[in-house]
Amino acid sequence: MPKRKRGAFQSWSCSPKHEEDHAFLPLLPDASNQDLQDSIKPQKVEFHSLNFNTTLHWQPGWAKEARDALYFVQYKFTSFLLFLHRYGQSTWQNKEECWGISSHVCDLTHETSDIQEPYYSRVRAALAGVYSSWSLSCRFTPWRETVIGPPMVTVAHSNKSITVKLQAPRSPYRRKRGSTIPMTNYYDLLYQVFIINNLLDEQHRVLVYEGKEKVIEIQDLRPGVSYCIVAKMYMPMLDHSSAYSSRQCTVLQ
Amino acid sequence: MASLQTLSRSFPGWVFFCCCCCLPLLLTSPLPLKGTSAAHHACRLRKINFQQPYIRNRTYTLAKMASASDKDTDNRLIGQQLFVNIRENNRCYLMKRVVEFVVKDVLLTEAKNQYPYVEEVAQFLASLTSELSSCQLSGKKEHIEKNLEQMKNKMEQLGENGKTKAIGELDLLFDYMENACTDAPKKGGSKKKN
Repeated sequence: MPKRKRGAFQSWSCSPKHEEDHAFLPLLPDASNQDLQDSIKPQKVEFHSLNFNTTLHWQPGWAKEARDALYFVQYKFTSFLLFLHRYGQSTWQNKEECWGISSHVCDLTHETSDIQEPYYSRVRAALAGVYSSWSLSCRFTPWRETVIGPPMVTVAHSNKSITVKLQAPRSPYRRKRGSTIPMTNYYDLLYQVFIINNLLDEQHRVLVYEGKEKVIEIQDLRPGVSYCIVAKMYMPMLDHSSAYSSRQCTVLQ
Repeated sequence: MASLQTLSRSFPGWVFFCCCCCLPLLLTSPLPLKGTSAAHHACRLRKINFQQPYIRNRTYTLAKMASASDKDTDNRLIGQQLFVNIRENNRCYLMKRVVEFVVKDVLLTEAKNQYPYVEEVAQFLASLTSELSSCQLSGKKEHIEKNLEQMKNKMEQLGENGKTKAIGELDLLFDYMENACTDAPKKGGSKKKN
């Protein structure tokens, strides 16, 4: 089972697509337009998602002029019952905030909030009145593909022990009262806590706790020694871990 | 002994006690009281079936590979439309039928040679359906048959791409089966909580 790259957003890339084969578009009046269309067409359209904060990313076309292009983003929700009452039909929706933008990123967190349902998105570029064809993303299902971030860690110490407080990462979705919902509401997640004894080896992390408790105490430590704590979230269901949290260090008095 | 005599003498009091205390207990009991619940129990899978990262990851990877070559964004085989007019207690039965179809008519065909992990995933799915072998439909079957038929027809209409789509949606199939057939669905459910 390959481990995910630490700290990286998960991204899937679909195999190169040739669905819009230009051999089938003989009606275009002039070949140079066709070249421009191809050369500004966005590449590698991918969803990136961390704790359900989801953005669409793409790369500009290979032409030098592509850096001046503007981009247009659409998304599609394919769930049957929901689109009936929400959208009327399963068609491509314009993402208003990403309609004619120069950046290569578009926030689709709000548009992908039914987390177990699949979505598609597509982007096209325009330059000097010429539009490229659409570049399609892979199918994206937030619940399966979002990356879980590390927990927040705070430490307090007495003379022989360290108390570690853990906070799960939070989703952007809110409860009725306004607080954001932690990722532990969506998955069975465990905290993994590691200790680093700086006297011995700053790189060597020892797993000291795995479980769901939010406050743990690490006992029988040596006074006068500097320790650091790091933690990550672990998802047994997929055998995935988050990146490590930042180090929280303390010297026992 | 004296107290026992007192109690046995007050028999009507006992009856009253039983009615007051036991009847509400019976009524609120989570234990099955009706005949239909037998079918419900046969339509349950243990959560552990879905908690093996190895097969879950293989299923997701296979689905990802197939869906990458599926350019049709309009159609969906595994979706909420399967549950239209289907009561909650029949959803697991419906998913069993869907899985049986996908295993027999999609995975164990020429697809075996086109993608990796197909046989492993098929074997896993088949083990789930065999565990559900005594899961029967309760009530009328017309809606179930209609929804199943619609899914099969749609796959046929899609021609070549129909099977690719079905394989590409194995991840959805896996999750839908888990949600329909296990008792404690994933926290957060199938929808956002806001």
